[in-house]
Amino acid sequence: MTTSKTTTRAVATIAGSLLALGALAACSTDTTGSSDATSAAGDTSAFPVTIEHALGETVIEEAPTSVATVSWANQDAAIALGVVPVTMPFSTYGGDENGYLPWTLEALETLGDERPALYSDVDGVPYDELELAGPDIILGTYSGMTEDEYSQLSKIAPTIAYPEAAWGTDWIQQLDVTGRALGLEDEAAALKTEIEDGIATAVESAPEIEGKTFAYLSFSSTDPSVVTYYTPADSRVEFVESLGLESAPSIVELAEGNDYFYGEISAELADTIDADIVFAYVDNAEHLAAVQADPLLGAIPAIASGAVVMLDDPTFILSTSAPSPLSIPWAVDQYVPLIQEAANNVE
Amino acid sequence: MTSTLPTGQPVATPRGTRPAGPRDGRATHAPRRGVLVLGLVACLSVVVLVALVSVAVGARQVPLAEAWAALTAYVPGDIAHEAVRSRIPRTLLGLLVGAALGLAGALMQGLTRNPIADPGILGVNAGASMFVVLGIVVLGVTSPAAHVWFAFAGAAIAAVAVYWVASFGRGGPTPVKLALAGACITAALTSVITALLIMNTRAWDTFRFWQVGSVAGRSLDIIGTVLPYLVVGMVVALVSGRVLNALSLGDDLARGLGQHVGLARGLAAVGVVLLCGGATAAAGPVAFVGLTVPHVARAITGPDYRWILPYSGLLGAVLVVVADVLGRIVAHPGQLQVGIVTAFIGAPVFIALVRRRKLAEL
Repeated sequence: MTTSKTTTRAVATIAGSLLALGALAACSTDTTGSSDATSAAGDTSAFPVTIEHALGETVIEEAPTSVATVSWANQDAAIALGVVPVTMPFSTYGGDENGYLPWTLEALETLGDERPALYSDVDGVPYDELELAGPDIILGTYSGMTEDEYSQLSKIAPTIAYPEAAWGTDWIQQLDVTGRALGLEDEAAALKTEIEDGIATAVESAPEIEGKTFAYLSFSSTDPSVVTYYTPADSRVEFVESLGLESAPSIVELAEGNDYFYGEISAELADTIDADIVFAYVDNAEHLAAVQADPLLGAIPAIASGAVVMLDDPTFILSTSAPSPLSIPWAVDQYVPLIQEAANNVE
Repeated sequence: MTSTLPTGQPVATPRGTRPAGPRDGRATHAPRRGVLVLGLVACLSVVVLVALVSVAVGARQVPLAEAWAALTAYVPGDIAHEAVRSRIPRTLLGLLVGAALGLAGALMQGLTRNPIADPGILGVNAGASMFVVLGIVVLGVTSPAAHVWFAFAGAAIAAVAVYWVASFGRGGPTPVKLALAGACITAALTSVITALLIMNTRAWDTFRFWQVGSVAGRSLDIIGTVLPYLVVGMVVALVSGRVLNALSLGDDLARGLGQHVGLARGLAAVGVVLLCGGATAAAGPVAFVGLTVPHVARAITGPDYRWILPYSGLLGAVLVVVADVLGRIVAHPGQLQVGIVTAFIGAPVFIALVRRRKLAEL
């Protein structure tokens, strides 16, 4: 599945840290949403539109009027452009008991509180439920869609997979592809500028974070002998870079020749992670304290100095690790002060 | 135990120390005792050597002199020293787990007269894993000391279940039926583990560990917790040699030689459960060690379980520690869990064994 040497363990890591994000533990599906939640079609003159993606080329003949989304974040790009999907997944990780992420819910309320039908994707994509919703397009721009899933979904409606790398679609690409697919290119471009301005304003308020180097790491409470790092190709890393920080040279070097979005490094080499600031996935504050007390992990310079952005809240983690055009404005206001605090501890 | 090995005492075979081997008469080629004692000393030396290599080699390159200083002139906070010292617990655990699984494999093969008996293949490790996960998820058990008891229960129940399932049909529990039953039970148990953890995302991190065994990142406390059980299991295993020799003649002959077949089996089974449960509680499921090692041991010693057992213990320790060191080298700067490396080494051996008709029955 990956050519990198970090095979099964790495797979387990990603199963844990990513699949769990969206897929696990949902026992119920909210189907109370109205099934005729539809959208105003975009610019009809642009069609037919052809969209290239990693799994092929998809031709959209007419401006879609009922949109279905799979995976995470894709509903956000559509909703950000004013299009309420007819159906989208129940958000287990980080979502409320009705399956909505806070930023998604806020945007839906602003759009007049139309509610999509939510389906559970705990056991994989439920093709029959999607078919029942009768979409004329299926958006999976941010996903790890397989060939098989793609061909199944394509039988239901024209389907858009990820552009290049699985899970490697940043929010700008999400907005761009979704805008083209829905005939809302101008709206997408305007929204991109608006979001970027918002980020710029937040960053301006915190000049001390500009140019600081960082490493995005995940610590395991059961095995402190290794650390997982995320490569600069990962969207959560790109998001931090968009705030004016730079990937640490050691991480850039580690990521060379690693075509996956994360890798592992032994705790014995902890002192080589030469970042000013560490973004740390941990279980809780107690776990972070254990990491700081560990004779090897504690040797990571930023861990030792306390220049740490602790990430332990599922909703916040999702908003920054699978950044979408809706989650970013929501997260920036919380993220920047946290990074600012960490930057003040840089030695 | 080597020089005082009893020769042909009370219930042993009538003709000296050598047990009657399989019907093809390979037993006549068993090496002489002096050679076997020397071999055992050689194995012990290899154990010490790989243990030293395991402490000296890791993700961080530390010169030998400095690695030595880490042990003799430790400077707290010195990252090179800390790195070297962090390899000590995993080395000790690797030695213990390897010896336990090697012995357990030899015990199981002798007990079932089955050349492909292995705590991993026969579902015993999966049973131990599942019960530990059950304890974590359902009962909220978090202390390793309590995990051990769940592991024992799971190992025992899985062993009995696999043997019972394989006993159905003609021919009783044949090697292939046992392996199939083990694979089925392992698959079923693994599904249950997944189901339990899907309902509890907080246990997910622990699940990673219960899916593929690892000796890395475990504290000395965990080793201390399982040590007493492993030691008892090892003693039970090492004194079972004569019983296994008698059993290798078939139940009727063994009974004729004065063995309490049921009692002997029961005692050896307790040994298996202690060894597998203890090893799995500390390191998670590690497959193929118990399968591969006794065959290597048998190739050296011939069919006498009084020799196969100690050789299996020592060679098991060597295999697991070497696998752990390899995992550090091939995946640099990360590492591979020991369970993955032993599977890479053991799976081809398993296939070769199943394909060799000669070994179809012991």
